[in-house]
Amino acid sequence: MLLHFEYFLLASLLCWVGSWITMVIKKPVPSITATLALSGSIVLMLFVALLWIELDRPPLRTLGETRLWYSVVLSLIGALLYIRWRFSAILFYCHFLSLVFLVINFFKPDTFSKTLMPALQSPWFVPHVIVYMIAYACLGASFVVACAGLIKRFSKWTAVRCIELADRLVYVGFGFLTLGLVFGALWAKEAWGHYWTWDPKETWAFISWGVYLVYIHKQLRGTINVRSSLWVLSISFVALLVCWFGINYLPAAQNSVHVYSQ
Amino acid sequence: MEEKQSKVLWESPWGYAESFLITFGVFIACLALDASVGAAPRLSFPDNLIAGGLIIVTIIISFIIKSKNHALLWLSSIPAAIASITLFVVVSVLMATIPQTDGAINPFYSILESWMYNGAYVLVLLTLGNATLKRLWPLEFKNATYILNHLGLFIALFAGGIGAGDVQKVNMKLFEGSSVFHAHDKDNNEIVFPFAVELTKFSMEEFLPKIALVDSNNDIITKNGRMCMVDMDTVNPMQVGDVSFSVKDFYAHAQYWEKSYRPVYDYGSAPVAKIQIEGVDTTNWLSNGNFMCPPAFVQVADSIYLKMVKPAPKRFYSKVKIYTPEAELPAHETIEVNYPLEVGDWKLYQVSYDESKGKWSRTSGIELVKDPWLPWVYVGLFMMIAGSVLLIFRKKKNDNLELDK
Repeated sequence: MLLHFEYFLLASLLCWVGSWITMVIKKPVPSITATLALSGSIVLMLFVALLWIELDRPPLRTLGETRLWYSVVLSLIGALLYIRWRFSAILFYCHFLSLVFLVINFFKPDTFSKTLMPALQSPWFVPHVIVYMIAYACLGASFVVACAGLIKRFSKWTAVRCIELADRLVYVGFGFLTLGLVFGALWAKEAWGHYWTWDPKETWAFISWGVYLVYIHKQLRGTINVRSSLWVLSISFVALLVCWFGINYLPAAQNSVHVYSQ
Repeated sequence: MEEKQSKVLWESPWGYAESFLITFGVFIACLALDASVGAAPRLSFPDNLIAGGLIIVTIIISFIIKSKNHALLWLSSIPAAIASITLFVVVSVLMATIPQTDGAINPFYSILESWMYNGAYVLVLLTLGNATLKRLWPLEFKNATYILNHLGLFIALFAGGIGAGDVQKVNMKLFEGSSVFHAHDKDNNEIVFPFAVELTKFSMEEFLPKIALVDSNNDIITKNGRMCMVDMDTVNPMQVGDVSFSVKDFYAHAQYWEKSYRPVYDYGSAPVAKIQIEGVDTTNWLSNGNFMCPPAFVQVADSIYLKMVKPAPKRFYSKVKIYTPEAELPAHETIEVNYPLEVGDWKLYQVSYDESKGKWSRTSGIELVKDPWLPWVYVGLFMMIAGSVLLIFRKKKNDNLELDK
């Protein structure tokens, strides 16, 4: 096993800490912040690419591997949001959330293996999981932005603008979430003979999809209420986390085809 | 979510309070049905078509005359949408948290067959249908995202739900050399097919087996939270846990006789490796064995053994011959996981095999599925894909940007 995750994690951490420093000093240098933020993400993308080559299969099978993709995409979203809107708190929060998942991977390392069961050897495997990871990262970022709105410490940004940005992220995230759901259904028909079987993962995927759908509709009516927006967004995010991780721990779900393999 | 203080309940337009009251009422009514009438009927052709037609007619009529009636105006509103989605989500949460079995008397243990599930489903169709009609006509390009998402979801849900009763799923067990043209479904009804399936050969390719450290109970040992199990490497020295060794020889197919394993490709062959542990002069055999081949493992410490784990399947498929009345000669086809075979109205899926024999299985489990409403579900799903892509690139801002304290 030639790839040492620790080195890549350290390199990313150094880049990101560098980006935070250049953000909070008296004379911030946004171009360096952006470069360092992106570099940290690129280092991780390099790890994923090398892992893909080493394992001879897409590294999307285990929970740890999905956490890795989530961290990469979320940190990229944070960097893009910073470049576009100079929203420094968001960069920090996205990096923080990414690091949480990366550190979990460090302490709970995967047993990297080349085996990929026949059911996963399908052209749908990569698009289905990647689209979901992008969705989760966008929706995670929207949750973080909404929290920032509630805290109201950032005078440059009013609570309303925070919710506005959160909503935009929800639209993007929800679009990808729907794609993930539909790709899963189309794949299931080819693999198992039916597009929807109310498998625990599918049920929770529908639940998290449904709650975000409620949020989107709620924001289209009346005037925006920061508090209630945040409440519904939080519940949605919790449902999403249950769908992603929670079902691996639910006893009712152990026989699901979606339980991540070791 | 606050209503203006001056509004009286049930005064038009209806808002969130009325929506949740109505939805709650629907839920209670459904529970009452579940308690009294029992399971909701599973409708198949032509009853499901009639029920579906009634729903569509109801939606269209309610849309046309809605200006005359508070309730009908409410059906296409956002609070109605939110309430109906919420009800369906609540029913789903029940399904996700309460263990479900088929045919239970208590509707909470068999939600898919209950009135509360079907009632929530119909309510979603009614609100979604009305919401769709709201911007369907006249057809305008600026409504493309809205129409694709709403109408797409409606078509997928309608075809999937109404058509569920027409789905037929049958399991067939094939034996090498014999042909089968009938099977039983889960209710033990016999189904005769207009074609026959003969299994010529079941085949399987396997990954290289893994090597692991196990204890006396055959559980894999963990070190620092990681399982001591690695993919086998026939080239470089290996390390599993604290044990270093190298693989001197590997036979993907071997049999055991005269106190040794010899490479032979035949029924009952198993993968076998000859290893040399670091610091030890002699070599050892490692094999998971199988129904014909004995296993071999090495004790490396007190209650710690080095063993070869049963290799994981990489690919398995059934080579079949399909006999149809129209064709003189049978068609030679393959059925593989993720690559089902289409024969007439049926699709054949590779589901299982005799796991005790592994790659030497001479039986193959096939599932045959007939789903006449599937094309419509696909139409809905592809509309949703298009709608989602448009949603991702949506540029429209929400107009209600004032803060509501």
